[in-house]
Amino acid sequence: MSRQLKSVLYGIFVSGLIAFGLTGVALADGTASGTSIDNLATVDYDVDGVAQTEIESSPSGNSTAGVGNGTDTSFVVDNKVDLTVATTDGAAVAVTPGDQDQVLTYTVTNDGNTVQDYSLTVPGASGTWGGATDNFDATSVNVYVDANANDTYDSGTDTATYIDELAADAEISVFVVGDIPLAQSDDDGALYDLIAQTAVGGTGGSQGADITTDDAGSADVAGTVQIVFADGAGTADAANDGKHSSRDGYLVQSAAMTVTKTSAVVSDPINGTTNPKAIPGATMRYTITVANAGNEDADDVTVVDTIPTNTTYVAGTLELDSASLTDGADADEGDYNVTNAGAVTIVISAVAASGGSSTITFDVTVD
Amino acid sequence: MRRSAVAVVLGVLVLALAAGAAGSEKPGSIKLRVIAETEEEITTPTGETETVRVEAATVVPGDEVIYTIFYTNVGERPADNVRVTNPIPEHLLYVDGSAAGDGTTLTFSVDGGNTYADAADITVRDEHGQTRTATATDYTHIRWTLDRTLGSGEEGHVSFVAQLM
Repeated sequence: MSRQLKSVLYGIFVSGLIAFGLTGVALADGTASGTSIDNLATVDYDVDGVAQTEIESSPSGNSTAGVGNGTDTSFVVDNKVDLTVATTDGAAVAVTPGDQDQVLTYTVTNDGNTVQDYSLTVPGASGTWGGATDNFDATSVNVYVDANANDTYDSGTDTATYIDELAADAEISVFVVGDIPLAQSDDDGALYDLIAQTAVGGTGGSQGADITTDDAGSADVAGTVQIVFADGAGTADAANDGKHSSRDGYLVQSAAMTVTKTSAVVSDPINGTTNPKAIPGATMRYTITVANAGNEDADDVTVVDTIPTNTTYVAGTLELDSASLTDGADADEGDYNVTNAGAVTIVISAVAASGGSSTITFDVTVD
Repeated sequence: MRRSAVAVVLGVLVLALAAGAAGSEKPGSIKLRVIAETEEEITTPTGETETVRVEAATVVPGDEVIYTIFYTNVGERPADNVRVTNPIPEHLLYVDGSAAGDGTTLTFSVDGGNTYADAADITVRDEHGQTRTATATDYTHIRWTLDRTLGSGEEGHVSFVAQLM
């Protein structure tokens, strides 16, 4: 039965009760396991026109008239093991190389009818999910349970590594926390499946044993609470196995820099600026382009270029994006022979993500 | 838990037998037996899938339980106006249209068994005070009234299905 239909039925049932003035009926997501369901029928009849004393039923048959002489036909409600693991991150979580304690957020919901513990594992996954393609592993990957119901990872507070005593219909947040190696590059991905495994509940503060098999293969015992797996398949588990799982991951967002340097002859002493050649005394122009094809801005990009041997820097020719820079040590972005001896040094405050670039030019003369 | 329940049942039976033997209580002339069953799919030795009824033992929310009530006139006189009544057990919802019983007239109660009427004639008030026809989930009791006299030694059965909430 679909949950939607069930809740509709509940709604009808509740309104029916209200119609008779009965209130205060709390309906959880299913009758709790261990509840005894008792049924007692009665029969009334006449003999020779005289109404006889009512007779109650029993499982084996009762013919003794009178209230209290029957016996309920009963069974206990069994343990329906059902759970849902779901990530609350809509897509892979953006991280930067070198980031510590990066959090993937999940929820685990007890869809069954019994208080349960859950053990948690986070194997790596492959493939593509949420915009990230798996090609690396985060380090120091741990899983922690939300201790203070704020759905946010609090280092030092959220320390439990298993879910303790999750009531029927209750939900709790679980965090996968990992470090991103500094060596990772833009668009690298690391995917993980969080698997929650149903475990025996009922004792607070201690982790119950995993429930890995149900009683489908066992004989039915009317008076005993038996285990029935009713969970769906997750990203890393099958249906009806007492587990559920969901995928999430990290997507590295970084700058991706390329540097291009070209040279051209501007003029020479013989031909001037018409088809100049690189002969002694000629003026050469170097053009350095730094471009960022990554997903993050690159900040404080420092370009250092030593003036080649047998050439001499032409004072006052340093430009950044066609704007002149002074050669001296001052507030502008560049200098010559100050920060680095015999070299031009330019510090660009930011090269924008996704195709931003800056161009540096300066002239030298051939000795 | 289970052992003590069995002990209680045995105790009740012993008391009932003792009461009958002592003649302190008038023995009824109709024997009433109720069984609870669920349907299960089994694979036969020939590899075919078959639905069978088994004693209700493994039941989880959403499952349907089939109750069958057997009646037998164990007295020497014919019984007239035989009415079998079954309250919908707590935590269960009656499955619409499931009540059955050959040679019986079916009525329902929505007021805890005080009054019974044909399904089409029962109304309840909704949360807005509006009157509407009762639906399966409104029923509190089911009653089967035999259309005939139940002679000595004659027997029959009625049944209904309810879903565990």
